[in-house]
Amino acid sequence: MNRQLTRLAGTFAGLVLAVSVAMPALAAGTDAAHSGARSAPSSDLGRSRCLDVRLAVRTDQTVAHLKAFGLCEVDRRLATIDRLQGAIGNADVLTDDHAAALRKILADSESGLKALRAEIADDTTVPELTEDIRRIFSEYRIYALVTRQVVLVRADDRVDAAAARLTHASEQLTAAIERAAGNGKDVTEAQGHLDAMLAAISAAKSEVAGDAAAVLAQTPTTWNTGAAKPILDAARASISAAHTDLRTALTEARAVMAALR
Amino acid sequence: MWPAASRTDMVLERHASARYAEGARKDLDRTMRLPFRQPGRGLLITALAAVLLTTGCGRRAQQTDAGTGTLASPPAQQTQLASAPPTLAPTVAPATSEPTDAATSQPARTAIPASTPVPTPDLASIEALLSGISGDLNADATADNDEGTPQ
Repeated sequence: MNRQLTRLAGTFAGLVLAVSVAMPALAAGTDAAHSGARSAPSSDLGRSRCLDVRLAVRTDQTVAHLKAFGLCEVDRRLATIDRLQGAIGNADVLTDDHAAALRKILADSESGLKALRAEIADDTTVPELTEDIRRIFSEYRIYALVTRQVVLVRADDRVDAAAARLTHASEQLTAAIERAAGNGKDVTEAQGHLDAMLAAISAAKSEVAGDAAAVLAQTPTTWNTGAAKPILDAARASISAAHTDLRTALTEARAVMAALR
Repeated sequence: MWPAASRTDMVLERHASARYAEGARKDLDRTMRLPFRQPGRGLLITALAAVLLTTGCGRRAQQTDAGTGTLASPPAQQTQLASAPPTLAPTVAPATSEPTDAATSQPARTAIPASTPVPTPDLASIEALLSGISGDLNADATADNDEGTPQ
């Protein structure tokens, strides 16, 4: 009797322990699955998505193959626009003006691509389809231009947001240095780090000044003429430099705090 | 001198008290050891204690993950997190050194600003923004590759 009771108790305890350990893990897995579902993997929206129909067109340029390729490329771009609209909605750092400008670019691209999709679906000849497929690229530039506009403007606003928070932090650190000096502490080292922090913040802000407006002003037409790409590349370089400056400012903030302890 | 009958009574009474005390001690011993003398109950108690500990640790871990919106977090804590300002936390760093004994502390130590409150800026949120900038730069670098060509 005692042996049976022992076995039952052991089995029960094992089951309870297994459930206790497994439930949080299952819950975490569910959260991860939900967060992953919000944004589709980029590979699903990359060029490989239409690889099969592209190869079919290269093998045999028929109306059916061209139509399938055109529709696939349009749908890939519409999915990317959907993902970018979600990115704008989730980006709390975007200013209202920048978010509105990006939404308009995406909405115009979406409506234009949907109209073009209907035209491709109605095309009946190879020349018609060839011309409409060319328009998917030349009239919209969803990846070369629009996607870059979204991520560069968002990065630009992130630079401004980080600079603002670091400026707020520098004000707190200034007050702390004043208190420490009032108590007779030597604050030379802390003040030196604070000065370096302020200089780095100022450099970061000046790096990206005006970049967002320049990026938002670009269109598929300016891209096709070759004017847009240098502007986007310059904005990228500015953001990268500002990122380094902000990293420096953060390091200096930590140094100020360490010097005051 | 005590009468003989009275002495006998006293001896008997003393023996009875001793036997009673010994019996009570044995009862107490049995009571204290009872759960551990039956292996089934002992194992069950151990298992229940383990479950309580495991469940408690799990809840604690979920509460620390409240920043990601875990539903297991208590509402009061979620409210506090949601209403926290995104800029700087009002907390101050603890003093680096505190005199443990007032009798041994020297008068000069009160003038040294060892306990000057140092604000703790919300560096974690700034770190998150910098990580976001890195992600944007990476996305920008690969976006062009997805454009493709009409051919």
